[in-house]
Amino acid sequence: MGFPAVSSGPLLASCRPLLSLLAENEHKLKQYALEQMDKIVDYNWAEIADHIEQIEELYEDDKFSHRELAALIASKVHYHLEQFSESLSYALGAGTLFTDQIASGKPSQYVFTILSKVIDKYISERIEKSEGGSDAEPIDGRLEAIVESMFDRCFSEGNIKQAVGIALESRRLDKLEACINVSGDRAGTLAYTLEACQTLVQSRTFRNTVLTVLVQIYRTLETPDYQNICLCLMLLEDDKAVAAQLGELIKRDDEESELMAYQIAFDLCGSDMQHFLLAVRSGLPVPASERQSAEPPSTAEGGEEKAEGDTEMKDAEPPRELTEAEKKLETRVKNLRKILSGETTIGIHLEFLFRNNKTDMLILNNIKSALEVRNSITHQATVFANAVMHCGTTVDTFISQPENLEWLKRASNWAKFSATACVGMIHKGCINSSRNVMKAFLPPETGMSSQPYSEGGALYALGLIHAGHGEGILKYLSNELKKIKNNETVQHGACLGLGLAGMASANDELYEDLKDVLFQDNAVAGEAAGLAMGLVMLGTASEKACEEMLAYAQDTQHEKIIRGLAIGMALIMYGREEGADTMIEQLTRDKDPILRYGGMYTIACAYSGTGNNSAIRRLLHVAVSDVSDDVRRAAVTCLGFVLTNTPEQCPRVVSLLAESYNPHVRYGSALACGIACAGTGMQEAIELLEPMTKDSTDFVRQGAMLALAMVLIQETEVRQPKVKDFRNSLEKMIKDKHEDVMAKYGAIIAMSILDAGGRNVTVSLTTRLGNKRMSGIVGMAVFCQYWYWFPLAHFISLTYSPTCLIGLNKDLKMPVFDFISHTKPSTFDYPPMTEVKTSTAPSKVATAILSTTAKTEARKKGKKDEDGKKEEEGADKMDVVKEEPGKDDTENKDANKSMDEDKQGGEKKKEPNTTTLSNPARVLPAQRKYITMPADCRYEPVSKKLWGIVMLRDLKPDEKAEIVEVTIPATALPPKEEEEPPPPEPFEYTD
Amino acid sequence: MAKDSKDQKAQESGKVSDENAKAEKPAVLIDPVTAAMLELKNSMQTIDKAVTSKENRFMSRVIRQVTKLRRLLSKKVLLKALETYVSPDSPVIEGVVAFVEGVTEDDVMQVEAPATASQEIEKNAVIDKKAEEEKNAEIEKKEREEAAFYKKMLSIPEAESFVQLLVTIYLLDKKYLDNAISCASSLIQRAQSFNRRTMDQILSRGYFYWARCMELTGKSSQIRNELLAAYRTTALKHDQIGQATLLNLLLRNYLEFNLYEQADTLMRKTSFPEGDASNNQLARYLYYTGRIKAVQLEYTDAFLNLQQAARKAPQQSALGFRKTVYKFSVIVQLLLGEIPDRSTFSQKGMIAALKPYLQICQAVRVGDLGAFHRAMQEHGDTFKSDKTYSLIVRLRHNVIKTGLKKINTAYSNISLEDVCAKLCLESVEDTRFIVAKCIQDGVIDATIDHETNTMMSKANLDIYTTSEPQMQLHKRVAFCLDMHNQAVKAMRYAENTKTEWESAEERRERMKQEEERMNSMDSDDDF
Repeated sequence: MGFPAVSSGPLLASCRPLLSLLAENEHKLKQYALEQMDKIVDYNWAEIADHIEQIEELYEDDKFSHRELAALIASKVHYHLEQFSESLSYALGAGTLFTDQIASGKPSQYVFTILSKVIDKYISERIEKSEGGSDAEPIDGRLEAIVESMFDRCFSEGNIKQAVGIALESRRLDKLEACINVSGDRAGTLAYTLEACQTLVQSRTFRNTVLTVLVQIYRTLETPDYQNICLCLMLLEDDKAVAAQLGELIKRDDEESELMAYQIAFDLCGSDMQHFLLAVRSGLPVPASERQSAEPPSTAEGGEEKAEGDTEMKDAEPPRELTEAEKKLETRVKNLRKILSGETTIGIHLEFLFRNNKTDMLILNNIKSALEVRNSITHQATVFANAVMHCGTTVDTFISQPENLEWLKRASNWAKFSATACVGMIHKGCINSSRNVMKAFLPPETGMSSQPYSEGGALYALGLIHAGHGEGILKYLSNELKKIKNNETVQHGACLGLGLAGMASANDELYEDLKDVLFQDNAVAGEAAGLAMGLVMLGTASEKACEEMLAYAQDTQHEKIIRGLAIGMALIMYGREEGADTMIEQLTRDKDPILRYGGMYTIACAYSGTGNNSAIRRLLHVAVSDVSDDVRRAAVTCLGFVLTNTPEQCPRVVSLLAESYNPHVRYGSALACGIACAGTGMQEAIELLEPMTKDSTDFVRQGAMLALAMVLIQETEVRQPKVKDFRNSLEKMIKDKHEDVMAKYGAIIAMSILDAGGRNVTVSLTTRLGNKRMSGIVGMAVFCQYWYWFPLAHFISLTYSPTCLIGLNKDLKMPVFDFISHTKPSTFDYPPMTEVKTSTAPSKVATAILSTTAKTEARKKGKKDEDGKKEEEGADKMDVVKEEPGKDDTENKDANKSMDEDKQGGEKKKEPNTTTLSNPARVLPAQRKYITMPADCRYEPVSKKLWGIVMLRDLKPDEKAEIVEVTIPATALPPKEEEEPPPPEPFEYTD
Repeated sequence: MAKDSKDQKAQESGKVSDENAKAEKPAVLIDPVTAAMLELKNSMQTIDKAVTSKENRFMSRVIRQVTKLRRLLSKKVLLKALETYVSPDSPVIEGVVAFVEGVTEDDVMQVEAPATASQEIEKNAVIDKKAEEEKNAEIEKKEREEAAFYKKMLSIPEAESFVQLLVTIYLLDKKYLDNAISCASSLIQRAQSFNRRTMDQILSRGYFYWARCMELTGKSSQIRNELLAAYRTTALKHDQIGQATLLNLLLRNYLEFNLYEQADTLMRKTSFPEGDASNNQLARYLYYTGRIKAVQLEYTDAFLNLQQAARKAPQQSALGFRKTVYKFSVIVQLLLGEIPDRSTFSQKGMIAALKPYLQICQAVRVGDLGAFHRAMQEHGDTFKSDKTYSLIVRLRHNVIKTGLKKINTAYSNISLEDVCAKLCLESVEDTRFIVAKCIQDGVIDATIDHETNTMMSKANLDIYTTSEPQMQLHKRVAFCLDMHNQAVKAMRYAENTKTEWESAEERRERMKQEEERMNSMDSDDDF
């Protein structure tokens, strides 16, 4: 029945006759059989599969002339059987029969599939070879040939990006270079490569090789891309090359290069790598005047800074008898040094945060009044909340209010320590007047300390103020540390302060000082010392330090010290990726859970922002297998650090863990989500975290609220309606008498994180250029230790970075001009201030007379008056120019206007589709892509990325430029009338 | 939902008896075109959801709804659907419209409105009374939304392909096979060109109807290669539903030409994707493999497969499929030496179809070769068309064996002539050989006395002294365990379902979906 129909068809239903031919002796018959089979193999593969051995034997047979044909058929059959690796090896055996098919116009599905397998295999073999060293087997030449031909095809067809991807994955540097050289759009390809290299290449060593190659290519471009060159060099940590590059730029006699040099310096500064920046600074060309004076450059630098006064940004006096060019160069070098020292950035940020401070005091007051007075934890949390909300703004109105002073006094012992440190947080960045700010609390110059807690706190506060920029204060702090002998509280503060100020300085002296404290084997001081040692040696992977610390950790009896050391060791391994593997192995295999805990954080620090798969796997493994809850919690939390560069992955990775029966794991997953998705407002993260704020365990609720606050920081209601619900639920939780104290603690801090830094900062673990931000990651890692020790929560101030867009001209001053944001004003506006709830009086007047008069008034009148008031309060009156309304933040103005309209009309008028923002402006991360320069603007940015600090080219240099008035906060100024000498150099402490 | 509607109808009919005023209500007859369009819109909304969420399960739901839609299809409906859901720029639309217009419909049926439609109308009516003004505003808003929806659907290729699929089905139903074939093949081409995962299910249905039409026009020999190529593509794309459909089509194609060996090799070289494929496809696969194995003499496996196929098939509908499965299963069970349950033959709707098999079964049971031959002669043509003939021929030995067994237990000593006569065998010599063979095989425990030409049985063993009861028990326990495992497997949640945090709305949605699935299992007429 079947056969007639089949034989009439074009092909045989069965290929049994052909298969029986294979058993013949005659080669010709076999060849004929194979030829016929090749035509029908796609349809009769199932039958041929039963005789695949015969065909494979034919391929093995040297005497058979058509071995390749046999291989091709075998390959196809294996392909149909979905055994791709066999199929691949036979396809390679088929030689030209297979490769010709690739080149032919329309490759079949089979060819496509096998080709992708070829590339996969090639990549895995190349990686194995490059990692396995010389003993790895050489790669099959046929494989290589096919991949080569693929490259050629990509080149000829212009699919450069694909070629770049394959070249990167298969670690073919030669091909990578070829890709870039061949491509028409070299700059575009380079940018693509740079991004791919940073995000996709997992191996640090290979990444560095690629970066070196990229630097070379960038240099050969017609118009070298200095920004990217320096970015690559920074990633390579090649300070000499960066210094040389910057030197070369400023030596050129055009404004363009000068601006570029400044821009690069700002960008470098954003990465916070202190020792690297120091090295770059010392590598800069020495100006003529200094050579004349023949002073060693380091002291000259110090003196110079001192003379200049911080944010005044005065150009240095031109030295005598120098040529015009030399003078110019000198100014430029000085500017550059100042930028690299971070002073300029800090000054500008300080100015920005002070000027735009939009803290809602009512929230704080509400928190304060809602809480029971006696509970020290919530009291401490409220003080801390104030610090977070005012972080870096220098506005300390809340604590200086008389009624609050009394309330503050309730803080005793460590709470006092913490409260004093909060002052440091508020004044974060006042590096030139730090000691003046903390004057009241610092240990007396002579005699015994009487107030150990506030003195310790003050030293810690100094560290927070100077975090990562400690040149001015290090000497003082280390002297203090040496001076205190027997007071562990002060020692604790001094160690933390020293660690923060000397962060990543790799300063051996500091390290030795701290080690001395550690060796006193005092639990409280030792913990801080261990942590500080890590901070000082941050990211150096110094073997000596690691060994000493590990040995001591295994030796000591104090859990606190072990914990401090464990985190310290983690910090030392910051960013080392594979370089930290031995250390990680050692720590994770330790029998002491605290060291294993440190091991988890070592993974977090070493692989932060890499998304490295093996690190994730390791953490996930520990998260479900360790016996200690602490270690499991840490492992899950650390996932967040590893995934900071790919936040969209995090909720998915931890979603299962978030449903774990173990509350520690749930807490960890909440925090991980918060860390990875900080400041993104990501929907998935919110969906994951929201239910967890109602968890049955108190500390899970705490973690979830903290995390959610980090995710939702600066989100506006327009963009994310959940913000309002979240605020309400926090408020409810704080007021709820029956709520558990741990959850309450979380709620209070979460509330403050939402409005951190006067609503002008975000939690950011990445820099302007998209690479990881050292201080951010370190701050977050240490912040997570608040679980054991509340005062460590202050480290969160390191993670904050102002969300600003500030344009600077070549004199590093802010000219007056506007940016345009292509969004409705309400989309990225500040959240509205909370209103005082009054049941009887609806009128504004009534509200104003109510209890919180001072603040409400301040709030209503706007911050100008506040400035004025502050000035009056301040010791010396600044010559502050009253701001013109035009100079006020236009965004703010728009918002006010629209609010007014709301009130008047009742119905909302249509919002404009664009917003004008004046320099310096608050620009949220999500807003960045909408920012443009107006068409007829006088200035033109040198960098394409419009956020952070941007150098501007003046298109009309002859006209007089209008400069934004600087309204430096009073407290941030160095004391002038005081007879006390200025801070950096006064205390030449000699025994 | 269907349950709801039944309940509702029941309620309504109850009311009818009570109140005359409402007597008209249950008989709400609405324009069939509107009813169909409402139903179609429902499907389209699901498609929209599937495309936006990239969830294949919504697409499966759409495919299930085809059954319901199929009954409502008419020329008018399709023309309107083409107008609403297919973009006029589409390269296929002209051809498809021409196909639909080529159909001559004899009568316009009045269709009772499906549950959803009538409910919706009722709802509208209620609104009518409540507030006219409100309604107007609402309608306006609704219209605006609807316009936006239709506009959106024009840009979704799935919608277009879905309508095309409906046209194909309609043409098939109206026996315009050639047009149906070209419609289906243009659908396949177009759907393939998009390379979208949400298209996979429509594509697999497209292949299904295409193959069906080709089979009906007697061109199935031509399509095998295309099916093979399509199968490879689906396997590479991990499109499990398509893979399952195409594998079944291939097996069916081979079996149609009695290419059992090829079918067997294909079956052994591939694996059926059990994860995502629908139950119906699985049932079909089990049926085909059962048939193949039966021919290959692997009766035990064949019987298991056929039994499972019968069990997996929808229990209310798909009568034809179940009939066929039972026919084979009865024969295979007989070949295994077992006698099927009497109840098998008295199942609802199957009595007539299984009657010939009942006769065969009776003949085997009593070992009456005469009755067996009579049945064979009487129903030979039926068996041939059922393709069970070749298997039934094999049963002759079983009949003889059973007969011999009976004789063996009844007589301690019997002459071979008598045996020959009793079994209606042709000659005594034959009988001798047959008896010898049976003794050799251990079917009976006896000896032949060649001198006296008699068969002498040995004492019958007490079966309870052997391990036979144990074997039987084991078999049943194993069956129960297997059943349990399957049930547990079927209860597993799909991956990524978060039942914990779903909102009330989502839960309602899910419940609705599940219920619908249950109903569609019952009313699936894929077979």
